[in-house]
Amino acid sequence: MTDNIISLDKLPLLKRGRIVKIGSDDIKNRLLDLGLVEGATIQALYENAFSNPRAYYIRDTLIAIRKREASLILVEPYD
Amino acid sequence: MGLTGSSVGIYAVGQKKRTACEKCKHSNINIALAGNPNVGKSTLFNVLTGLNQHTGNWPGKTVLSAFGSYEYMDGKYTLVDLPGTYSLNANSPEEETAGNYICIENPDITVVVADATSLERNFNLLFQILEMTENVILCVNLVDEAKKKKITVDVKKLSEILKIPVVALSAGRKKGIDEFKKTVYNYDKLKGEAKNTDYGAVIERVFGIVAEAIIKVYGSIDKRCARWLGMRILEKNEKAILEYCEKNNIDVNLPQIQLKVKEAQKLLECSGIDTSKLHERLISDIYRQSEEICSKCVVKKDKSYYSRDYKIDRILTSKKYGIPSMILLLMGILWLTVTGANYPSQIISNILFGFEDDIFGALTWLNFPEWSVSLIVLGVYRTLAWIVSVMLPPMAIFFPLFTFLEDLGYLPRVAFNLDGFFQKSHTCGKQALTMCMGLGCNAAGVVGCRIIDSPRERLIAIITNSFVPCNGRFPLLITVGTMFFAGMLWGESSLFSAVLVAALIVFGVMITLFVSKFLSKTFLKGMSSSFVMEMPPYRRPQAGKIIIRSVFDRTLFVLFRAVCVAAPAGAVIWLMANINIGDISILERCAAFLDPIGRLAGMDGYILLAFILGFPANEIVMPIIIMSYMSAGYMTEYSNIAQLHELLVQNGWTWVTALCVMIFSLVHFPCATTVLTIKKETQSLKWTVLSFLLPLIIGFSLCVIVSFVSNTLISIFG
Repeated sequence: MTDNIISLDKLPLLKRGRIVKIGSDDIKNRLLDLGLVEGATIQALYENAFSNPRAYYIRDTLIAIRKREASLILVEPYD
Repeated sequence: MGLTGSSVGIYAVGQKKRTACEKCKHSNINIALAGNPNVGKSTLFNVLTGLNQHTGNWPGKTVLSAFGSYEYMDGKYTLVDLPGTYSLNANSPEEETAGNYICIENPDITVVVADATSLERNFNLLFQILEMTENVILCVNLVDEAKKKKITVDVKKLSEILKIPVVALSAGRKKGIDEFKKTVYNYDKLKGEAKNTDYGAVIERVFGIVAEAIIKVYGSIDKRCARWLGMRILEKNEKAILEYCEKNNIDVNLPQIQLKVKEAQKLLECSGIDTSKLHERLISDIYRQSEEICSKCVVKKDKSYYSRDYKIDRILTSKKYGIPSMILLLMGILWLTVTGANYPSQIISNILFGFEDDIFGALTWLNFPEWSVSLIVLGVYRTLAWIVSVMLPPMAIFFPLFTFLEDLGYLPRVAFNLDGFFQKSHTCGKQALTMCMGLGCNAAGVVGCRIIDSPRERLIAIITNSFVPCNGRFPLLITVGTMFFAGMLWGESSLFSAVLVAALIVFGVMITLFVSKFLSKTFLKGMSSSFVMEMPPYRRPQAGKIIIRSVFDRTLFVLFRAVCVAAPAGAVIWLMANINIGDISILERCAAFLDPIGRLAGMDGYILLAFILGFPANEIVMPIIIMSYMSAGYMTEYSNIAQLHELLVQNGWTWVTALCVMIFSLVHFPCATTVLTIKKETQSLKWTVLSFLLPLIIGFSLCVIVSFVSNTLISIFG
């Protein structure tokens, strides 16, 4: 593991990241079912007026995730 | 699974005798439609059955399973449209419904509908279903949309790899339906050859140990089901185990099974697999297998095909323009509704009131007693005519526009834009979706609250839904607003009416947020639960479908309901106005009794009485007010808004009265239908009473404050 791992809510817009870990939370199963599994690629696309939630693109699907949930997901950004 | 009639009855006899049983084979086949949310299951269901199951471009549209049937050649098929789910793990009530149905009702064929543009994600559910039953047909839907995005799916290859029938479909454009029916007609149950998931040697061996132990005890259980049950036991998915075992009379706590479970668990630990993380491992593996298959069968020529939607989203959901564009859109819709409705309203009104004399004449000629003619024509018919002419045109414009946005996929974006507010109220962003539905009809909005997973947030959404004005309250808001405020500023203009109604809706939204927060801090304490929502791709709505659906399903439905209520209400008002106790009519007595309360809130007794009598349906509040003011006790036809204005002013209306009426119309008790729906949805008298009293108290207090402040200001500056 490299040390440039950040939580998903910190992933800059339009950047892609590889999911490293999904923290345990009541929503974990739901995230897994949407395809947010370790190793999957996720891209931050845009945010609303409150910067929360943000919309992410994963497996050809656009998903809105609130900051609190996104902060429990760790990603490794890549270009 | 196990010994159902279909699995042993005909098929156990063997393939050779099939022709003899052809008739019974097709006599009644149960088909379940499963799939991710928003992949077009309901559309396929409608095309097949001809039923009008409501569809829309947003996840969670189907909250109840719908049933229907169709025939093909000599076959008869029963269809169940299950709610869309991403998995069978039951993260929400509707996912539980779908999971239980496949798991327990054991349909003959499970049709998995998948979105061709995002097969990878859709395969998660497919594989989870394949782990339970191999009698699956895969429908790759939306191939037209995929083609536009330069995605091609090799259906033949998919079928070869999965070893199940695969059909390419474009249900919305009715392509591939015949092939689908043929595939179902010719369907033969498989005998263990369909593809199943593969989790690698260690895990498979562990599953095998438990499955074997189950089969040893329960010989009749299907191999796949035994493996599936073994997986759930090792995952410690108590809910799934309990449901399945109860239905199939299986006891997994038998010592001979538990012994093997312990053995399996030990083996897992020795191999360094944490049992608490087994579920995550399995899902990751399913996705790995999905990726593998998709890389073989799906070709994407355009890597960034999302770009078109991104361009639209950069305005409609952007940080800066998201909320302003939403408000502009709302005003635009209202403006089109108000402008477009003016003229047809006039025409319908002229026609309907034109018949009045004829009906009067006809009834008199038929020797009806004078009082009954008067009751029917001046009480019932006039109210009906008013309702139809005032309500039909705006609904016939508003509902198609609303359905257009719904089909386009805009509604989830509203939830996205507004979620920040809902987070501050400790509620779910999806509440915005239910509020949008409330604009059409509050009862529908209350039912729609099922898409919210957390029971606490769902209750809040249900209780606050009536703060969004439904379509039935638009006419009052528009008429009163135009009469008393438009004239003051810009003269009669539909643009102003639109702005005014939009402002009132925004005001309603603000009250909703405020009350939601209040409830979150008091009766329904709690922090907002997690929120993850799929935002569907924009889809071009089909014009024909929109018009047919919105006119027949929504407009006529709502109008019919209003008419059913308006007719008796018209009669009641006429009777109240014409039956005297002493020298004064019942209507006047009631109004006089309510008058002090009404005055306190800036209104009068007649208005308050109208709101009370309008409890069955909000649409009739305005006609009742007008009728009550007529000394004769029935509505006069008024040909223009100026005459109505004059009537109201004669009865003491000022702009303060108008403002209070509008506020009270926006915030009072929900209509009878909505109250009944709330009772049904919450299953609790307590919450139903609260949903009734809360808006009443808030609305009344607001009116008291507004009238007091305004009247004080008038007396100081006036």
